[in-house]
Amino acid sequence: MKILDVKDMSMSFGGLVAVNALSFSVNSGELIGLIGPNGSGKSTAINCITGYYTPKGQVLFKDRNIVGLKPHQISALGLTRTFQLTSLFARATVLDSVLTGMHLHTGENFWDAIAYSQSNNRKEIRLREKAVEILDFFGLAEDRDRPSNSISHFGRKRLGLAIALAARPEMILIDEVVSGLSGEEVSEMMEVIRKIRQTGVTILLVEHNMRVIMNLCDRVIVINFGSKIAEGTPADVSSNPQVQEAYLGTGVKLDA
Amino acid sequence: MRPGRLKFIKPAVLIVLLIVGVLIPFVTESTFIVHLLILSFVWAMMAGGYNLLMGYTGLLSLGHAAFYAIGAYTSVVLVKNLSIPWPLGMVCAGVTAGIIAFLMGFLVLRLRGVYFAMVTFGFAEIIRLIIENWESMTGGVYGIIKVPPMFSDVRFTYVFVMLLMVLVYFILYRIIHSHVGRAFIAIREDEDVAKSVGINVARYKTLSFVISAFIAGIAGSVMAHYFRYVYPDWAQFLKSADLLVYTVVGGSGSFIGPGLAATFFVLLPEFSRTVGHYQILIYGVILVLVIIFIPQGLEPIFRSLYNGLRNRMKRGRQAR
Amino acid sequence: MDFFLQQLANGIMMGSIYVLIAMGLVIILSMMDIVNFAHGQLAMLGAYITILIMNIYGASFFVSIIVGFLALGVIAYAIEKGIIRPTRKKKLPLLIAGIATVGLALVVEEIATMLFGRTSQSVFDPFGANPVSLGIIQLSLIRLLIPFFAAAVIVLLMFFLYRTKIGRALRAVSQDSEASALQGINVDDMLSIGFIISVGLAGVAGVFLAQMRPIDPYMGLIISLKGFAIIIVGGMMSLPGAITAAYLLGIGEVMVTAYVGANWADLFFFAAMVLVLLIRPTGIFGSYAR
Repeated sequence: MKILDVKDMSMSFGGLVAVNALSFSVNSGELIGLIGPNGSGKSTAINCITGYYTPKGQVLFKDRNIVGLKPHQISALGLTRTFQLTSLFARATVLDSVLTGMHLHTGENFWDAIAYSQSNNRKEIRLREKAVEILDFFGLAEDRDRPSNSISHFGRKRLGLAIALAARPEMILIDEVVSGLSGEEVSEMMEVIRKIRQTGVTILLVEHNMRVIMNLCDRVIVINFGSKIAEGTPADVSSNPQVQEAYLGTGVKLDA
Repeated sequence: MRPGRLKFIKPAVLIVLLIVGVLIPFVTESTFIVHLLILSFVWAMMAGGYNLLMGYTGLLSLGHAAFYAIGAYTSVVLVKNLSIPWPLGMVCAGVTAGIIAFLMGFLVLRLRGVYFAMVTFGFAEIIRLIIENWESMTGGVYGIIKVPPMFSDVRFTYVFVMLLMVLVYFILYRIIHSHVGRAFIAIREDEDVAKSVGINVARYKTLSFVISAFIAGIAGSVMAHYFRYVYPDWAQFLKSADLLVYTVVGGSGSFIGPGLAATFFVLLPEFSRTVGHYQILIYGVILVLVIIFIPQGLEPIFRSLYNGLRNRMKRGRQAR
Repeated sequence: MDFFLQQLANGIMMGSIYVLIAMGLVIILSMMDIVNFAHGQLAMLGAYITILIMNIYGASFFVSIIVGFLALGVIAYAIEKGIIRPTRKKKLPLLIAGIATVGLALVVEEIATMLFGRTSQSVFDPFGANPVSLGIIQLSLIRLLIPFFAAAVIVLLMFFLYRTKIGRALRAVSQDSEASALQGINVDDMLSIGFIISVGLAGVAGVFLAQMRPIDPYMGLIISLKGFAIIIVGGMMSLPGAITAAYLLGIGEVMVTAYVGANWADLFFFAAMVLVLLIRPTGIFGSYAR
């Protein structure tokens, strides 16, 4: 079933059109890639889908139009994202960051937070156990008590994923998660993404790194100047002349 | 580590401190010390609430004295004119301050932090002007005197204020170590990521603002019933600046830093005439120097010194 | 009717002074994204410098304007280098720089109190205090001159910002400091210049204020507050907004004082600010971009 359906989404800033009648859909369980040259509107598209901007057009998540909803409301519906440029919760520990990510699922309200009781204590313990499980999944368990800004770049990229996944989404938009990683780290990250996929979460991967796209994605959507210029399997897309022309001169090899 | 267990101090030590604290006024002859301690408790309480807003949530409020004054006047007016018991007046003080914070929050919390700072900066002065001019209710420039006290014996007042402070800090502790506290910190660190995990940033900012205003309101009413008077200058900007100094120097975002700094700064001018005379100037200089050179405040520095010492002692014991 | 016109003239004059304050705040805000909470205190310094050189050294009004601007400029340079610049590099720059300027406000006010005393003082021989008849209204010369001065300052500033190389660099930095740096603009220097201009303008506002009424070391707070209210009403990053709002609120304040009561004048500013925040939070000329 279509979990995400973007219909004629457009977004301009002043006179500048960043996203232009973009339409695509994602089926439940898929791992889709979204690629395009720099400035093609990928990040803006993500911001529009997840409520940080309000675009024109429709964005249906699980058949519900989410345009106009705020980001925290969209997350509550089951759609989360990562951020390309962020220092995350820099001064919070790795464990606390993931605990924060579980905000929607603590089962506590404000008064529970204040009241000191056995059952609340147990809830908090269970929450921490779950958080450590998530950290384990991402190989961050050892760093759990370190401040987020003290772990490696690779660790922070994984932490961003961990936080987004702690919110128990049905679908996650991952924004350029391998930028700045070494070749080996990229391979490890690809494994992580595969592991995430195996848990049943639908993934939209915004990426520049063609190796990742080619190896991981069921389907690839190519955008340029804010609209879709091609769509298909990685093989289809890399041999598409329009796509090749869009990347011409950018130094990006499509069959990396 | 079980949640809820105090990390920085063993419960047994805390209980001993509490008992000692409660006994002090009954043991000492000096009413001056009791007076100073009451002041420290109230300001430590205010600093704790202010720290929740500024240190943990990252919102710079420059008009918190307004809530202090609002709380004070609310309680005094209700108790004097309607003869309600002062505990009820105190609760009303906090609630009134909280409601006003809630309404203000509507105006500015969905905008950028700089709006919040500017509006709160003006707010205290506006409240002061309103108090000065609303003579029928507030007695105008002359304030209100002959405010009914809390207890006839100042020692009971002391115990009450001390227990109140402990209660407030207990609640603050619980809040900070819950999902609410984590949400506050997330908002301070990165609002966008906070939103992406489902945190309603506007709502939590408002919550933080209301709680800190509530505490300030209660503190104001305590002071009003302790000093037995209240006047418009309680809302003046300098009082807000004091709070800022305590929090920044103590360590914004640390749990006990601001409270300890508040105590230190309340006691200091009493023991040094020079400091008392040049107090505002010194505070200003300290504020500038601290925020530039040690913006994290003193608590983290002391904590790492303490940890370093403990590690060295541990290693010493192991070596033997 | 005469009365109304008289008040209107007063309002325009007050607006002219507010314009200088507000433009300075907009410049700093749009270039550095910080608010100078000591702005009013620096204007107060300008007022006291005027009193100093006019009362003690017998300087003329015009000299005092120049000295006021220069002196505050030098002070601004020191502040920017010593206090603002170190805070820019930190995380949460607004919080930290804002707090630093709060500390600065306290220090400046206290030093002024120590140097000049707590009671208010006046210029012995204020410029143009004699009334001049302009048809139906009577205005002291100073009140007539200040709007012209302000207009001249605005024109000069606009010329500077739009027609000179440095001015264009300043505007570039306020729009996008990273892109400006990439184009070879020395962002640090531009920020210094912006800060100096901003505080210089505040100083000149102080010089004007000193001609009109007794001044005291505590006047800084209310000046800052009014400045903030004006830029919120006008749009925080917008110079046209600051100018419009300054005159709107200046005239409004005078009208409120004249027809309702002096006590309500300060509240008027706050009320205007609240109104704008309710209806159009970005201000008259503001936009959501930024």
